[in-house]
This record gives sequence, structure tokens and C-alpha cells, in this order.
Amino acid sequence: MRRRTRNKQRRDFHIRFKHNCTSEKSFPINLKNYSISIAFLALLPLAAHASSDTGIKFVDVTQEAGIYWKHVDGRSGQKYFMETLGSGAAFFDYDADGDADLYLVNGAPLPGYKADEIPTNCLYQNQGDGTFIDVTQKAGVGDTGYGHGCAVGDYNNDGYLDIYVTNYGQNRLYCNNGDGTFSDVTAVTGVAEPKWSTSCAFADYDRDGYLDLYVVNYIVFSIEQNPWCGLKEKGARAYCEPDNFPAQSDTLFRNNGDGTFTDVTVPSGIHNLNGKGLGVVWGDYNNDGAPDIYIANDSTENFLYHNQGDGTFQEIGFMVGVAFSENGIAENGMGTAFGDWDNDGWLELTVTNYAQQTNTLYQNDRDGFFTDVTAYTRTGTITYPYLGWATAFIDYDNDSYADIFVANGHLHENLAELGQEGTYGQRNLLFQNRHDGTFTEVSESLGPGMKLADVSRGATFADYDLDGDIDIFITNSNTPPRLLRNDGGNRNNWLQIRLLARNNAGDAIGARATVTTDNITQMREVRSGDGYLCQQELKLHFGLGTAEQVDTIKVHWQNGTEQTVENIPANQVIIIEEK
Amino acid sequence: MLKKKLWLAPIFCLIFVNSLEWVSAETAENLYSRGMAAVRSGKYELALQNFQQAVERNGRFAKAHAALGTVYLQLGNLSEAEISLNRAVEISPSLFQAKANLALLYTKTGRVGNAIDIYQHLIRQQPDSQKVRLGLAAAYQRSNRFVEAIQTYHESLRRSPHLAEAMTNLASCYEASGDEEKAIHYYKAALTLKPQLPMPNGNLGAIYQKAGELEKALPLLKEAVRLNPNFTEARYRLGLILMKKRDFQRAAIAYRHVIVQQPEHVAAHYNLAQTLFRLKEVKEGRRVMETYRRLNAIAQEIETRERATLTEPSNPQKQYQLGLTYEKYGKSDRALGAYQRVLELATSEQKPHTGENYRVAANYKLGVLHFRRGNLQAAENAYLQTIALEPKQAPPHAGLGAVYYQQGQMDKAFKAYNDALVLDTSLAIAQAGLAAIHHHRGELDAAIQRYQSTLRLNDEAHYALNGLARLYIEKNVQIKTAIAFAEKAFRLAPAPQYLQTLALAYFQAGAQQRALNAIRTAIKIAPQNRSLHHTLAEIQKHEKTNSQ
Repeated sequence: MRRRTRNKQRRDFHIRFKHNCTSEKSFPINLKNYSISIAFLALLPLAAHASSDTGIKFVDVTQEAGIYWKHVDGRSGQKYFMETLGSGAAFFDYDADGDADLYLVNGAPLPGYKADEIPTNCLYQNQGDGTFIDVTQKAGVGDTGYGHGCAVGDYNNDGYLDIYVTNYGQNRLYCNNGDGTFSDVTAVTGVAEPKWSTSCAFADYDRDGYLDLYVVNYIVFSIEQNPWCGLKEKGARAYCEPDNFPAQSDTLFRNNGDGTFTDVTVPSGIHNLNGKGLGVVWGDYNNDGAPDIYIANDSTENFLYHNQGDGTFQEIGFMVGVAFSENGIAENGMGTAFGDWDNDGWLELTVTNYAQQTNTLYQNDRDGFFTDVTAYTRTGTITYPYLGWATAFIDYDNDSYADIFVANGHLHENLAELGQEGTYGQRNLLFQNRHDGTFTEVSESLGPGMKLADVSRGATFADYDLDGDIDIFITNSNTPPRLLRNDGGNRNNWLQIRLLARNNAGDAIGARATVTTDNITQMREVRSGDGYLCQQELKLHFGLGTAEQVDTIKVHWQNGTEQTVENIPANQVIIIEEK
Repeated sequence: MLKKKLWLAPIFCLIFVNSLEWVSAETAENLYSRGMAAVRSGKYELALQNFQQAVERNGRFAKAHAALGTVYLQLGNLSEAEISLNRAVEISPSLFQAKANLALLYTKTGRVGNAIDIYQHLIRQQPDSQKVRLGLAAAYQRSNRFVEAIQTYHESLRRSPHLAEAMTNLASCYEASGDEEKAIHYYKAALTLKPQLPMPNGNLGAIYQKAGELEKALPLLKEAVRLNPNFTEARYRLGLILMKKRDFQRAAIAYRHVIVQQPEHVAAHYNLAQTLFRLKEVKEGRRVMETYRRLNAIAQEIETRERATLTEPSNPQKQYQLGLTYEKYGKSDRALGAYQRVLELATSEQKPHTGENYRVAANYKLGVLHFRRGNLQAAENAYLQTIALEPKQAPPHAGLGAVYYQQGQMDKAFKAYNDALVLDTSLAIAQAGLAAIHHHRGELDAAIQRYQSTLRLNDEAHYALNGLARLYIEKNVQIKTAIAFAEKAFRLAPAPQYLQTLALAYFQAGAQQRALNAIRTAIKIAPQNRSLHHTLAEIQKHEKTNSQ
């Protein structure tokens, strides 16, 4: 395997656009001036390998990459509930130089916590040589709120990715000024959600060309009224269960197209006081061209909001079979992801759950219904002892089939004292797709990085070192995160696609690319804010196995138009601009 | 809510005393012998009568008490069984069989700690008793002490290697403790010994089903259901497989079957609704979905309460709240267990968590539940305990009055009701109790007056409406009012006795057909109630005479 370092200047292939974040009305300039329709970058003529014997290793390169940040949950022994959720991270190209930068969300001191310095969110700029530098102060994105989730999207269509951060307390929207700095536009945009928010995600649900924002809200909890839970006789205090607190409705903000948002939770049909939401994912599950929303709720039924195409949603989770476990039990949903793991062109769904519950994998039956295939895909039993959080469909071995990553870690550091089974730190899991409708959990064979038993929460994915395979960044509760470099995933061929829309929101969030090689057709959607509290890189990654070229790439843009590109050689990053 | 499976093979063997023993009252002994003969021929009702008469003849006849308790246990009357078995042990503390069956009863009623204590004691007495060893293993298994259960089953199997049921339970313990490989091994071993056992077929099929090995699971689950059509969990899992195979019609049939057998099976309702939606039977699917949601909410409420008792196992308040929740949803067996645990936890010296005396409250609740189940002796004891702890509360006195009334001890009942009214003059139930006593004594006017007083205190006191209606019928006055009262009583509380009153009132009013309809409806509600059948026969007889 060859790891590549590149000259920083080489990456600057984007054309800059005017922008205006701070004004109350920001009129975007569409991406009309793109001169390149397909940019060939980083040709890597690597030998193809079969997927059965990958030899892939994930190596912890966190410090080597210059990441010294640490998550702080602000604990003081009072077991404030927000300490349990951890915080997320985003891989995104904030400086539009072609590589994935990293934004990290942090907690904050809670009553009784003693700290020398105030923890902040952090932005790391990718230097293009496998290292990052902290640019938080310069960028102005060091929020000090009690942070949980984040998502990125170009809400004002100025060509630069903005950041939304959820907090216990007021959320933040940072508008990317395009010069390496951001402006806090929370107040002017009207998205300061006062509820306790967790995950969040952008999507253009009404297909008007502007990104809307879905904010998942959890429960009603106040520091002043923090009940004592646990084993009173033993004095063993535990974090309370969500049953102790009432749920809060999620919030849907509609982008007005003028730099502001309107809360449309009630008229859109999203208002629902039965969910204690943690995970969110947008995806067009029924291939009707309109993005739908799936919410993983903690201890209450999960929601699938079907986009009815008229600005409203209908909650159909129960009816289509994705609200409960196979036995009709509302589980403790944490993270969730859509992905087409069987390459049939329809999105499947996965949900991570609490320990002593299995994670759930739903297969899309292509008739509007889903079937719980957890047992039949062999993805259930092994997850039983683990408390799952972030999850994603990623093709880590580039064999053309999506695999499943799961981040794990328990809530309670005093499990034994509480008389509960399990361990606080838990290893993460990676299920390799066997191409026969089943998966094998292979993390033990994937090197030291996948054997670490951390208290993980979020996970985000990008080819940060641009070597053609997916790397993993994992956030851990109250400890430093891990950057796991994928060494060897690029032994198989690959293709990365950056979609640039010009008749829609420029970041192409919601667009779908379908790649055909030989007899395999794969589909990916550009997605904001999926998994758990996190944001993956927007660039689409396709493993190609031994195929040396892609026969066709079909792009389904957000506005319904389609575009086809043919005969693309493997092992490169291409940009497809909307015609 | 679907709990972790623990399907026990039926190896609980009731132990009857087989040897005859000389007792002082020969008649009692003869009755006892006849009872034993009836047991051997499976005539348990007859045996019950014989043993009851035997203990009436000789109240100190321990073996008759033990046999009576054992028959009650066999017939599922656990409260009476407990009383008789305890009486037997009280008279003869060394009575092995009574103790063993008492331990079995404790296992069945969830008091496995008590059961284990008894079994351990008995094992020391008779180390070779396989039945006791198996009982101990089962008690360990019920209390989730799987390591000890596995060890005890292994000891049993070393002595008797061909016990397929014990093998099945051993497998079940391995399964529950997470050792699926050994579970599969022992289920297979059990099937080799006895292929016709439904449990290992069903449990092994379930393991394969959960592991996604449908083709291995399918024949085992089918066989389990064929061998035992009432094996609901096997049928449910069969439904899941049919659903995966997209055979929604047959899956729906399987789930419906499960629901008939177990109307509160939450998961079967969930999957039936899912199946109906896929069959495009949306309206019916929605109906089932609503039932599922209702049952699921109940299951969740119960689960939350149960979890609370696990996090604070020594807190009587949590147990008491669990008891209330069980009671709310008609799970009186479990409620009894919870209230009994309150008594174990809430010692008299202990200051209750919220100032409320849970010992008093639990005793009172036990009195009410035992009374409802017709276990009068236990109800009396519980009420007396309540009164001893808290004499100033009126309801336990009224409860005691009801017990005495049912026992035919009218003077004691009268005093108890009066005691209640002294403490609380507005206690309608005590007024009605006194009315019933007056009625029983033939003091009809006094009874009417008392019932009227009751209704002034509470115009929705259905028992008083019914009592007054009965009195009017008996006196053949105000029949229209009697009809109205009986109708209202039934509306307020749909008890078959109120329909019986209504039938009698109609009959008195000459509305034969209405009378017949009312009494037949009552019989539909309570087909075992002999009094209702008697009333029906009387009405029919009169109708026949009239037509002739």
C-alpha cells in the first residue's frame, strides 16, 4: 500500500463565489461558473483485490495526525443526563480545497465540575499531508455550549458549507464566510432551538433549491431537577432512564430562501410528543424523489416520516414495519443510517440500540414495507452485549458492497456496582458484507484500531488522506477521539464523486448517484447529518472491487432531473456538475 | 412484552402420600383412602370432596390436609393449596410430601427463595430424592440462578441419565445463561431420548429462528405445534418464519391462533397488524394495531414497575406500586406475590419511605384479593393483620365483615360492619353489608332501610341497587323499580349476579322471554355458576307449566 502526501496548492480546484453570511438576507449565487464538468484527480493505478482476504488494518493515527483535542462531558458525580450522550463530529471541506476537514463538538462544565479551561468545539483544517491543524480561533466556531450534534450544508447556496451545532441549550448556526472564518447567524436565521437537541440534518424536503433543517429533540430535563436514580440501598447512583422524563417534539425548519428559516414543525406534520429522539437520517426510501426522514428514538417507537411531496409528512413507521423490533418492542434507538447494502437500488435501514438489545437491520421490500432481517443477516446476536451509538453503511474494503460500522460504549462507568452486565468501554464493530444477504463481524481482524475498547459515541467517515479508502473518526465520551486510518482498503478499486448542483442547492445534498460496473450497480445519496450526532463527508465513495472502470454513473439531482456519465476509469475523484 | 424465554418442561410432579397411616378417626381415614383412590384414577373433584370431609372429621389429620393441598395445587387453586399444605406442615413438621409440594407451590407463585430454602432442607433429609432435586433445580431456574440450576440438573442427570424433561430444562438454563452451543447440544439430546417432547422441539426451533436459520427452525417448530397445539411461543415463531417467507396469509392464521390462546400476547398482535397491512387489509390492521398499542402500553407500565423493584429491591414502596399495577390489569396472582413481598420487606420497625405504612396497605390489599378469589381464611387473616396494625381504618373492618358474612358468621359480620361504621359513617359498603345481614335474617324492612341509606351515601353503589332489587322481588313490590335497579347495577358493574336479579325481576313481571334472555346472558358470562343454571331451569320449568 502506498500512502500519498500532496502539495496543499494542488487541491485548490474549487472556484470561489461571493457570499454574504452576516446580512439578514443572503442571496446565493448559483454554481453557474463551473468550468469543469468532470475533474480527474488523483489517479491511483492500484491493483485490485478480491474482498474475501482483505488484509485491511485500521490504525489509530489520532496524535500522529495532530489531533490533541479531548471531549469533556462536565461530569461531577451528579449524573446529569446530558453527560451520557457524548458529542459528534463532522468531516467536511470547509475551505473548499478538496480534502476533508474536521469539526468536533464538545460538552461543557456542569455544576460541580472543576476545570482549568473552558472546553470548546474545535475545527481542524486538513493539511493534505495526513495531518490537521487547529483553526478554531481563527474560524470562530469554538462554541462553548453543551454540544451534542452537528451537520453541515450550504444553507445559503453561496458555495461554502455551513455548520449547525445542537446543544443542551441554544443551538448554533455558523455561516461559512468563505475566507476561513464563520459567522454566528443563529439569531438572524431563527434556528436557535431552545429544546435539548441531539442529532440534526439538512435536506431540501420541499425541493425549492434551499436546504431545510431537521433538528432532533430529546427529553425535558433540567439541571435543577435531577432525580436520583440507581440502587439506593447501595448508594450506587446511575444515570436515569429516559422513562423518567417527558419527550419533546422534533423541529423542522423550512428555509425561506432569504437567509432565514421558519419553524414548520406543526404544519408539516412533524410535531410528535411521543419520541425521545437521538438519531436522524434523511433518505428517499420509496424512490419517489422526495427525501423522507427516519428518527431513532430512545425507549419510544422510531418514526418514519413519509414525505408526501406537498410540504407535509405522514408518520408511517408502524405501518411499514420500522417502528419496533421484530417482537413489537420499542427499543432504545440511538443512531441510524440508510444504505443500499444489497445493491438493489432501494435504501435499507439500520438502528443501533441499548445493551441487551440487538441492533436492528431492516430490509427494504421495495413495496413500501420493510422486513426486520437482523437475525437472517447475522447482525443481531453479536451486538447484544454492546450499547450501540453511531452507525453507517460504508464500503471499507472497496468490494462494491456496503458494510456496517457501529460505535459502542456504555452509559454507566459503575456497571458492576449497579449489578449490570457489560463493560463501560466497548470495542466497536464492523460487519463485512458477505454478498449473500449476510454479514460477518470482522473487527478483530482489522488491526489494533478496531480492537480498542473506548466509550464511543459518534463516528464520521471520509477518505481524509485521499488514498482511496474510507477512514473512520470516532468520538469518545469524556476522552480523546480516535482517527482510524484505513490501511489497505484501497487494494480494491474505487471511485469518489463530488456532485455539484447548479439548479439546486450547490452541495447536492439529497442528490443520488448510481454507479454501474460489470454486473454490479451501487447507489449512494449525498446526505447531511446521519448516524448519530455526526456528519460524513459529502463526497460519495464507491468501492469497485476489481473493476477498472465504471460503465455508467447516473445522477439523480434533487429537482428530479437525471444525468448520465459513461466510461469513467477507476481510482480517482471526479466532480460531476449538474447540467 | 415478550420476555426472555424460559419454557420449563413439565417436570413438576405432585407428590401424594401413598402409604396409609393409622389415625384416630377411622372415618376420616376411610375418606382419606377413598380420596387417594380417586386421585389415582384422576378424579380430582371427587378426591377433593373426600379429603375435605376427612379434615372436617379430623382437623389434626396432617396427611389429609397435605393431600387436600396437593389436589388444590393440581386443580390450580393455589391459595387454598397453600393453606392446606401449611396446615399439614404445622401439624406434622416432618411431613416430607407436604413440604415438597409447598416448595413447588412457592416456585409456581414466584416465591422461589422460600421454595429453595425448603428444597435444600429436604435434600438434606432425603439426598436421593430425584423429585426434590429436580424441584430445587427448577426453583433455581425460576430465580435466574442458572449456575446452580445447571449444576443441580447435572446431578439429577447423573443419577437418571434418561430424564428428557430435565435435559430440556438444563438446555433452557444454558440458553438463558448465553451458552447457546450447550443449549443446542442438550435440546438435541432431549430429543434423542424423547422426540415427542414439544419443549425441546420448540425451544431448539426458536434458537434457530432467532439465529436466522429458517430451514432448520421450520420443521422443529412445526413439530412442536403438532405435538402441542397450545404451544403459543412455538406457533408465534412459526408465524415469524412464514412472514419472512412472505406467506402472509398463513402467518396471519398463526398469529390469530396465538392470540386466541393468549389474548395479551403483545408481539403476536404487533405482527398480525404488520401482516394485515401487507395483505392490504388496512382497516383490520389498524384495529389490531390499536389493540397492540393498548397491550403494549400496559406491558410497558408493568415492565417499568418491575424494573423499579429491581433497582431498589428492598424498597417496599416499589413492590407495593408493582402490586397496584398488577391489580390494575387484572393480574391478581402476581399482585398477591408483590403484596406478600411488601410484607417481607416492610418490617414493622421500618419507617416507610413516604410515611405511609406499606405493611398495613399490603395486608389490606391481600385481604381484598383473597376475598375476591374466595380464599376466605386467608382474607380473614389479612384483614385481622391490617386491623391489628391500624385499628382506626374503617375499610379493613368492612372487609372482615364481608368475610364473616360469606362464612355465615352473621353476628361477627354484624359487629365488623358496625365497627367500620363507627370509624366512618359514610362507608357505603358497610351499610350495604348490614343490609345484607338483615336480609339474611329475614328482617326485610330493616334491610330495605339500610340499602336505601347506602344509596343515599352513594347512588352508584351497584351492590345496594342489586340488594334492594332482590328485596323488592322477594316482597313482590315495586317490580318496575327492581328492574330499573338491576339494570343500573349491571350497567355500573357487569356482574352475572345482577343479570340474575334482572331475570328474576322480569320473571316476576311476567316478561318470560326477557327473563330467559337475561339469565342466558348471565350464564354466558359465568358458565360455571350453578345458581344461574338453577334460575334458568326454574324459569324454563315455569314456562313449560304455563304452556301446558
